[in-house]
Amino acid sequence: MDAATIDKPKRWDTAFDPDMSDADFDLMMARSEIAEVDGRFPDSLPLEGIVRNDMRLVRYQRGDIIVREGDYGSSAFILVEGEVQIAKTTIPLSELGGDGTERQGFVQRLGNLFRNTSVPEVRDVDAYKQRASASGDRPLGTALPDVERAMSELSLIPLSEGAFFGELAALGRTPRVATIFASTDSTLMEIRWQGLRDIMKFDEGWRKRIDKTYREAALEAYLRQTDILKNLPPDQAQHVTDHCLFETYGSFDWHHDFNRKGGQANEPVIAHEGDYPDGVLLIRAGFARLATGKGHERRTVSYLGAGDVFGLSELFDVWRYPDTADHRLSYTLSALGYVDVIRIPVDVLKRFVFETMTPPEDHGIKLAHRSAADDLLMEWAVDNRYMNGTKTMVIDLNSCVRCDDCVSACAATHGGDPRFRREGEPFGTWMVANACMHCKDPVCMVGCPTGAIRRDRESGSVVINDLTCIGCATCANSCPYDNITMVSIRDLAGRTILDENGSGQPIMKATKCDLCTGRPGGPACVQACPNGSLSRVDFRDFHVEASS
Amino acid sequence: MTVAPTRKRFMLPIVIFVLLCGGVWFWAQNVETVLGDPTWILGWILTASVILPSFFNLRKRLIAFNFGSASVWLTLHVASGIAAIILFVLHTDGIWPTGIYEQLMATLFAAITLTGLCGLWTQLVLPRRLTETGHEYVYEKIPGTVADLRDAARQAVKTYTEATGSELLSHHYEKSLDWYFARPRFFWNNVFGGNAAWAWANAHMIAIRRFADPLQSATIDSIENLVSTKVVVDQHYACQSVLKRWLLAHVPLSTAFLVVVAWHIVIVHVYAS
Amino acid sequence: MSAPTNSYNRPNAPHVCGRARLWQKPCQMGPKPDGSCGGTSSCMPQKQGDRWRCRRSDALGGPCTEGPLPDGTCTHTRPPCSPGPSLRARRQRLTTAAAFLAIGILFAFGMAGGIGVDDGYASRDPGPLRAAHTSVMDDKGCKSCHAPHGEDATGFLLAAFSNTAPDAVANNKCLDCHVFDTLNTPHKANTCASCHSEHQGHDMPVSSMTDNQCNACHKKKVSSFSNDHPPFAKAYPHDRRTTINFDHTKHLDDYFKDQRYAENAPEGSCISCHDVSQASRAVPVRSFDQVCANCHVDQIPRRDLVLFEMPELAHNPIDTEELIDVCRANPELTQESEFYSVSTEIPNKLATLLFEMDANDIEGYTPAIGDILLQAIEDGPTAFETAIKDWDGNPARLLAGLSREVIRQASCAWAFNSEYDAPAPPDHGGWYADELSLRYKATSHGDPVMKAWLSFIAQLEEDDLTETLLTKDGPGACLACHAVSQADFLNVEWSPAPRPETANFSYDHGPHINLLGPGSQCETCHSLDKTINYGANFTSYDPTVYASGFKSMTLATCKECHGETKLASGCQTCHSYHGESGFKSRQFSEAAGDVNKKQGE
Repeated sequence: MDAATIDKPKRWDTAFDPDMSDADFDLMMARSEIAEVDGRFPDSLPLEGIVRNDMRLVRYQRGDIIVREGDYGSSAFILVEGEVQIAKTTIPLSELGGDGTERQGFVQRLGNLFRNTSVPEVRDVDAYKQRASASGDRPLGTALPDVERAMSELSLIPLSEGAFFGELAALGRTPRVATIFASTDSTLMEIRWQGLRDIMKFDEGWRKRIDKTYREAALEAYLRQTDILKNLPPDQAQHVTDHCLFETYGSFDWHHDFNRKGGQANEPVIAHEGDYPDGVLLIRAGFARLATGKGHERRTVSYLGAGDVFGLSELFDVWRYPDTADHRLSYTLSALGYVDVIRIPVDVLKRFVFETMTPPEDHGIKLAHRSAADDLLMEWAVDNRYMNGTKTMVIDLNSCVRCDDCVSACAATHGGDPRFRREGEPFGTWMVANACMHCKDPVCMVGCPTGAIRRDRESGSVVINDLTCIGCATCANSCPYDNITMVSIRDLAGRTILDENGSGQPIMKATKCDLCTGRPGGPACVQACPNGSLSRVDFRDFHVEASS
Repeated sequence: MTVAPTRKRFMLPIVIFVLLCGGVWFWAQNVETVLGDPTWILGWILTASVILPSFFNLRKRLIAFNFGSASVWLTLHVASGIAAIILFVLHTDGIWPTGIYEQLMATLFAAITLTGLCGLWTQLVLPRRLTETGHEYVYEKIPGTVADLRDAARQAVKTYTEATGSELLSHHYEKSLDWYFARPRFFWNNVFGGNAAWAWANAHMIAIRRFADPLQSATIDSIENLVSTKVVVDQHYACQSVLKRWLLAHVPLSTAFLVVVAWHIVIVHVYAS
Repeated sequence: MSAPTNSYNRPNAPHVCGRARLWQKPCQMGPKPDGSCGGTSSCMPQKQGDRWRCRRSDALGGPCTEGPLPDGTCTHTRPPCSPGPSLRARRQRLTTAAAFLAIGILFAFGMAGGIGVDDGYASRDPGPLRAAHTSVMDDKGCKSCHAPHGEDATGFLLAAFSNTAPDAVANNKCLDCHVFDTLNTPHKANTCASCHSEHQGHDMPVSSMTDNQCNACHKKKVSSFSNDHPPFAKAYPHDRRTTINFDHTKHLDDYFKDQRYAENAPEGSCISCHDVSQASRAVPVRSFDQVCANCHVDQIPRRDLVLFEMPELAHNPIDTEELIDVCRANPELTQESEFYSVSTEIPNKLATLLFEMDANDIEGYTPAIGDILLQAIEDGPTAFETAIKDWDGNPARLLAGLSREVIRQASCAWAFNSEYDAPAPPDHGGWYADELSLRYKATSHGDPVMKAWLSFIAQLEEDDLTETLLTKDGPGACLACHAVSQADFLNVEWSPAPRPETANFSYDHGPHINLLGPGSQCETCHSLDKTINYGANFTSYDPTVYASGFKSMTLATCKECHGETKLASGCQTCHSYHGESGFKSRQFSEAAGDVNKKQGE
């Protein structure tokens, strides 16, 4: 039987801008930012290659929107020519022309009923052959409806030539914090984050500069959103910002360590129980374990994620009741993987913050009612890093009849191929199945060479663009929970599609749960369970309900 | 939505449907009093209460469309099925009809009801039992698991035999554990929650321990672990078999039943409009 | 993270690895989509440069030492398994099979009809017929009642959309044989099948109706006979007088006990006159000859009907010369100079009416009398026939037995102005003449001529006659007992009055009479009311003005035995739903049926 073959995809098969002209290329190469790069790049990854394939020149007209607040984007920008404005006041999404996720129409879904096959992982090979011209993100084409009004009414920060922006969102896997639009006709150099990451890896100048910007800009915007500081008048807020300390614990690539060692992975301690705190810790990104006790009696009480504070109630009590309160920390805080922490010193708090702040809730009383069994669930969840998930698939084993209707439903919604496995380690009566949890910190997105895996703009779900995926299995290997599956694809006749240059290697694609974006009614698995045993939960909420 | 719905969710819809049946019965009594014949309309209501459960199967096929969650559909399915029993008795004015077609229908209906109620029992009782074993096994992987256990057990026996030179364990294995590891055993006992497997396994392990070389206790321990694991695997196999296979009876019977119902409707309209 | 092609990850996959079915380790590849084994080789070798490399997974031991063949095929192959259907595929197959099996069974039974059962029990038969109907359908079978039974498939299916039930209003097959008064009955049910269901077995009762069903329509709800049944009508059941003026009290208490009549009186009380063996709705009285004749037979011949009485004449209306020969008279009788009427009476009322004479106008009626005499002498009874016919009477009945000889001889005498020298009155009744009148003597009870005359006189409705003749002392003494009643017209009631028709109620004396022996229980319901003057009931012509000699029957009497805790007391014990019902002769024999058809029924 003659095998079906196609050309095996490679890292730069899909260039960021396939039609880049040589003139543009020279322009970008000539930019000081690029020209000053002096790091050593490997032969397989030359700087020119990065510029040619991971960067592009984009020209905007006055009023065009470059990035929208809240979007999950994956590019950084350097302003080459013209002027752009950062909108400090929020522009409503309607004016930003936010477009929704494509919903499959009724007729299309009706047709799917007949197109679903029992041949696993069928792909339309012809569509692949046109992929060189396909791209992951949609082109940014929308503009502000009324530029004049925006210019006069909004509070804006202008950026001029040489401004470097957007790298925080791209690298931090976070949504854009503000809308940026062009106030004049402008030219920007757009670098997608794979290129950014690679340049940072090999060039120290870029690394340091981005780090510095990262701290300064991120800090300011972030602090303004926190509960304890949002009531502060601006000048006081400025004081607080100036005096904040910025700390990082753990490593960015924590998942590699975790994959090897699981629950025994390296967990650097941020603060010890019983120590005297000298400031409040604000978790800006990542997760930290909150535990009590020492040694083998250490019990995980909770975990903190982005936006949570540590040590606040202890310090507040001391300020309120200086004679009676216990100054010491009640819990130990340790870093689960990678944690960005902002430390606000005590004196800053006393001077500016405590006056206007609402007194914090004391969690101690609530937590005191829990038994060892309650804590074990939390311990298990944190050890397995399940708190990362926003849509963890949890199955109640006491009511699950093992009928696999959930898997069938997932398959029916995805052309006959299920996108998760109803397997997982059970804990008590619950099981977390191998379905993508759409993590807060999606480590699978780190390392994708083509940007095939991205965060969907509207829903926040992590989805893989099948056309762009080259099957390198980086995401599958990264995922700490084994939720991404590599599959070899077939044609309609059932033959495995092989690499056309004769190596006999099957073409692989990464597949995972996409949370049924576009399906009204939400995930099919949840709807299909006849006993309602299956739910997609944010582990924080689930934990509270399950163990209280 | 994070706490799974309980078995009690069936209660209220069943009660409501049964009350509705009571209303239907009352209406039928009134009609009979004025010399009307309620059998006709009762038949249509019964048809509706039988067709409604069969939509559940259709809904499962149309999962791509947002027609409501399957757990609600199942609750309606069960409630409607129970109402159908009452309506059946009302419609036929008894349990067993005259006439061969009607008797065929009654037989099929009884079979479907019986399998349905048994299926409901399995769905309410068996999952908890599976969870309480403390382990989770995927049904389709069980043959592989059993094969692995079998290989490991044989390997352990080989190790013992090579270490001690005695035929004791291999002989015993041939006579008992070989049968045990061949495939899942004690099927029906496991379905009904008995402990025959544990008892059998214990008996054999006690025998082995009694006469085995104490120096090889590590090997014997490993065999014991394998046997214990297999007990749980067998429980999973038995319970999950029932959970998956009961539909092999329920669904085909209901298809045949619907065919006969269609014919019954034609016949009744031709002969007794 | 390997390719999930096995069924544990793909529940929709139709095939399961064959090794798994034999409790061996299933291979990682899983069956191919076409159902053949996918694990015959351990890996898919990869070409690197111009050499092939083994890519066996670590789980199976990592790359093999032998490596692939130069053309790229794997060297570690094993025999293929035979994949089987997955559970879902099996369920789909079973479902399809079940559906087709059901269709097949229905087809088989539907087409062939009776399978393996002797008595022609067709499979479409939903149950055995009532015994009475079984014989009806012997020849045509199911088609006797179900028209679409023998149709072809199209007709059969089309019949499902129209009302082809045997009791459909449009073409009601029940009425082919059964006859009901569907027009005048107060009860109008929807269809026959509302109450009568067929195919319930040989011995199924025709219909069982509950009291509740009656109550559904009747405004006056009766929960039980002893509780709510409306009281009987005031004079129940004596709503009109009897046709015979028989005073039970006087007879039973006085006459029968009177020494003079005791030996003639009937023995026993009620049942001596009422024939218990014929008891149904009524217990009929035995005939006159059996019970009444002993005392009353002599009365009957005592009073004669006077048809014609010779009145006083003003002059001699007849030329008697001509009658000498006919009457064989003495010619000397004609030579009387002066005429002195032999009779001094006025004409009798009957003749006055018949011949329309004015009894006071002697000059007027004398010639008429003369004519009558003349005609009587010449033609006999014809003299009266015309007049009778003019008054719508039937001479054949009224003048039966009247001989010409009697009339001639009498008329001759009277024509010659002398009394008729009559022999003695007849011993056994009949027409006769005495000195001055023509009479009829009743022969026996029920004499037809006397009956005819009294009926005739009644229908004339002439007060004169009615008041004088239709009396207790009238001719034949008939009316001493028989009543004269006015319904639409005046008539003499010769027969016992039938009880009015009650279509939906029936009472049968039968079971009640014999409870403790015939005649012992009559007084339970029929108790004499001795205060009543029974004869007063017959003074007027209105039969409904009536005070019965028996006390009226009350609910209480019935309730002594019938009631909730006693004997049967459902509505249907006494009342029935259908009124009169019957059969058309068609159903009894084919020949009769054909005859009926020929008669254009």
